[in-house]
Amino acid sequence: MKAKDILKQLITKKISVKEVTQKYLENINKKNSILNAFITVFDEDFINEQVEKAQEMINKGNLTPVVGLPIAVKDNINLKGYPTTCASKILSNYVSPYNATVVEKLMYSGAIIVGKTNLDEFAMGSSNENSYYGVVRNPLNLEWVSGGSSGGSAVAVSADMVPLSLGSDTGGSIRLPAAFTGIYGLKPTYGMVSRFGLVAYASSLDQIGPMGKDPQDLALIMQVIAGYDPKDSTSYRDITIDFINENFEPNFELDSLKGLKIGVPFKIINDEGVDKIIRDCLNEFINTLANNEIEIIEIDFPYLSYSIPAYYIIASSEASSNLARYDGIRYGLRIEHFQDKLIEDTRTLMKITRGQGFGLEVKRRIMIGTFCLSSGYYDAYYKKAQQVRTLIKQDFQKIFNKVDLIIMPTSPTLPFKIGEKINDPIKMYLSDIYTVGVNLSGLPSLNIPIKYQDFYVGVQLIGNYFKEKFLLNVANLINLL
Amino acid sequence: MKIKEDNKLHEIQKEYDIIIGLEVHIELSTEKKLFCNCKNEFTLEPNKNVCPVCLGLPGSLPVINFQAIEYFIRFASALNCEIQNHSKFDRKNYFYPDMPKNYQISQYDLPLALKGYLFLPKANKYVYLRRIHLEEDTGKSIHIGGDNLREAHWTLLNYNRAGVPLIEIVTEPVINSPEEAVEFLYLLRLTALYTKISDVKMEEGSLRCDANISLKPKDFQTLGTKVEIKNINSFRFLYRALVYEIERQYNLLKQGKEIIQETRGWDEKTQTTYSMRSKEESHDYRYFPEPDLLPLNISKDIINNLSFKNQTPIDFYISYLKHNLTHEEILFLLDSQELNDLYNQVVNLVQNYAFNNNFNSYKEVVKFFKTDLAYLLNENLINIADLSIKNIAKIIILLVNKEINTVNLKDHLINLVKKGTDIDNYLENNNLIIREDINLVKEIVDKVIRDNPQAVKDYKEGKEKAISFLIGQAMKEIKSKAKPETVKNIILNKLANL
Repeated sequence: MKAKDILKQLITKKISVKEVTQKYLENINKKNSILNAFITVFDEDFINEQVEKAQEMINKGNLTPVVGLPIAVKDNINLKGYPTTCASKILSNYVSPYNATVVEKLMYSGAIIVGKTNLDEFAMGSSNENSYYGVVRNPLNLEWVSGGSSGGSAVAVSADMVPLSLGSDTGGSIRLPAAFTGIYGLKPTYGMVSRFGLVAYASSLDQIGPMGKDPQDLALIMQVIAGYDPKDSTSYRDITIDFINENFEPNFELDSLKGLKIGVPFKIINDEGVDKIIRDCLNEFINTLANNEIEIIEIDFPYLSYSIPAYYIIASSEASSNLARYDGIRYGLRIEHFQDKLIEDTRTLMKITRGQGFGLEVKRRIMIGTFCLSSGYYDAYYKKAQQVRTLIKQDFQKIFNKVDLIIMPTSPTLPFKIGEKINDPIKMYLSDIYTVGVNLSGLPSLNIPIKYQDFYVGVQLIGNYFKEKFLLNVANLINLL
Repeated sequence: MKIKEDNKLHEIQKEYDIIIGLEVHIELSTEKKLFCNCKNEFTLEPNKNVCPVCLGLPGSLPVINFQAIEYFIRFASALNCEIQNHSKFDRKNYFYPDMPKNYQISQYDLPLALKGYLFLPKANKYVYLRRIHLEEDTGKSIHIGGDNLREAHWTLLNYNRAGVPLIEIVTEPVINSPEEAVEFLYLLRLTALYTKISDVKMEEGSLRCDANISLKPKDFQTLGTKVEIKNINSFRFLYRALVYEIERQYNLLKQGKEIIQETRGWDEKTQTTYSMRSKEESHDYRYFPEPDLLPLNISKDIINNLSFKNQTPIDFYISYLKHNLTHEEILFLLDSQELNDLYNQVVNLVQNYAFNNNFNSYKEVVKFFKTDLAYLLNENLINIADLSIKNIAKIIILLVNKEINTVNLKDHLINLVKKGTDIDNYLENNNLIIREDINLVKEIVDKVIRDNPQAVKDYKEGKEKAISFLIGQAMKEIKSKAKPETVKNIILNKLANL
């Protein structure tokens, strides 16, 4: 069921918050042992407390766009009093003493946060295989990966364990698993949603965003989580978007796609590196659009091929610094013995703790990032990557001078099998080839699932800054075609 | 600030130029920390003023405290710096347990202030500044069972200080002696006090200093290899550490040995410097722009509005020199801003009250401050805040005109200078004003001369001292009925006619 329909039933009291929550909790109970979407499902007491509060809000007519809606939150977003593991051994015993701003907002608005979802360790990965808590399985095919890093949040929605979830997207981590599991996933404009309480992977790229089964569902939750936060210096102060109106219906301005100018990078779509099914699906999809009086404009990204190296240098550099704090001194894992001997030296304790606490992929990125920032290499790597980032941003701005939005694949491939790419990091990194440019530019981007033969193909809509409502609007109209 | 001159240094300076650059850290006394809402206050209870942000807990983010920017601009403008409209924060990465994030938010290539200078009046030279930047302080480590992290059995961590705003002032290498270094640091400290940005207590660590030292042979163009000394926490140690290090380097050069570029610590116990790490072991801090904070863009208007517009300690120093105060007198006044404020208020009033008298009011006021007032203040008999400017000014004028009875003045001083005393009544009631009664004086003088034939004889035989004795005897009875000067003249006159 879609969140917008549940909300309607809740508001009209055709169904109670308890009944809704119960239904989804049953699904979680039934499916999680196989899918492994959740790392933590909250205790009955905590959930009941939220349910009672939400029901009371409804009874008093104190309505919000998310009141009574069960929501899952990626386990790199802090919720007070419960673990935030980031799917890492090093934070496996860490309990957050404070709420992330998005959690605070959702709880204040009467959402029912049911648990914390699985992810690639510290959100580093494209398949959700890099988790200390195990791989997340794809409900569309249990042998497939879910996509990552927000695999748990995607699967939780896709498998009806919750109607809505929050993920985080640093290089495609919302859109890719959304594409692999056949749902909608929005990466908002950088600065649109507060990052306060989101455990940082790459601070200049990270952005929290929603996942759901309908563009209108995403509008509901965006209405609550978007907006300026004085605790996050990088959140926008002067932008407010009303995603919904007072009747909790999307505040969409466009009622037809006619006359829209859509940019399509045909070179990319028809690239040999893109799976044939995706190529065919996209070409058919674009034909459909063209047949509906939408202007298709061919566009070119001269610098897009540099986005993967630029992304991995910038993200890894920031990660090497962001993850330095996990050292066994203040919180989290502390390894005090090595080879049956008490470690007596603090620096050794820090080294062994980090060595044993981080997984392979995380260590790889810390090493890359540390190298790229080192004196003598900074200019050749970090600085160069930032220059490339500027060029990629300019690419997008040039394109947006001509078009209203861009359509391209979310992923070059369909979901791959578990284990298929885990030992080939370069191949794995290329999963993000069409998503990272958006993060480097700070733009909003939405994955929409297109049913093609037996598959869902993830199609990416990219808009200019602060155009997330427009993207949801377009996605909604595409649904009606 | 009295420091014994070292003769060996003069010898060294004949052959070498001593080149010193200082890096000074000052903790700002803002109400809150630099990036969070924790109180910025010294507290004995460990880990009391902490929160997710200054503890660097996962997911926390820094937000700049604008008050720290205000303090910074006030201070940097008092040092004649070029405050930048555009600057940014960077991360300085290194692992140390008292640094919660294992990186420090600091400023690297675009500091908030560039250039600037501080004039040293004693040395009569300008010390040019390279830059001043803003950064967060670290926590504190207490090592137990050893002197450092490696040797300690236990290390206790206190994060109360973590995230406290800190500014770092870097000078150009233009300081040429330990005396100059001490004068610079002293005046820099005063500037911080006068701009009210810090309590600058070296013993509490709110003022810390590192020094770079090298020796350059007189006939060389290029600088010698520099050595950095860390952990200097008092003026005395700064002086001693510099002298020790200069002599150490000189001895090495004399033996034909090479100076190794390294970081050395100052050991208070042995009064020597010791090697902490060599250049090869020095950290690669992997600076990069802090992505969690936006670049700082501050308009010229804001900088102008926040700039320090009052007199700096150097301004005072120069104006006092013009009024013929000595270096010691000036430092005595400047050392306490409260005292200096009081001084200026009293001088103003004295000049008002006695505008047609031709005495050096600056000099007279400082004389009173250094003697009578200093006594009251040093003995903690009264606070500066409780002093009456008006009363002090009146007393000084009476003293200059010798119209006040000074014999028992000390006993009355505290009552005279404190706020709330009606000084005219008090002087009157206690017979402290001298009103001359010449006839009475003559009577008493006659009596004193009669009663002290030996003294009179001594005087006649040329013992000048005897006159003082006679004056003293007379004053005992005369009390406030004449100035000592008048009594002296009458006695001399009488004796001459004997």
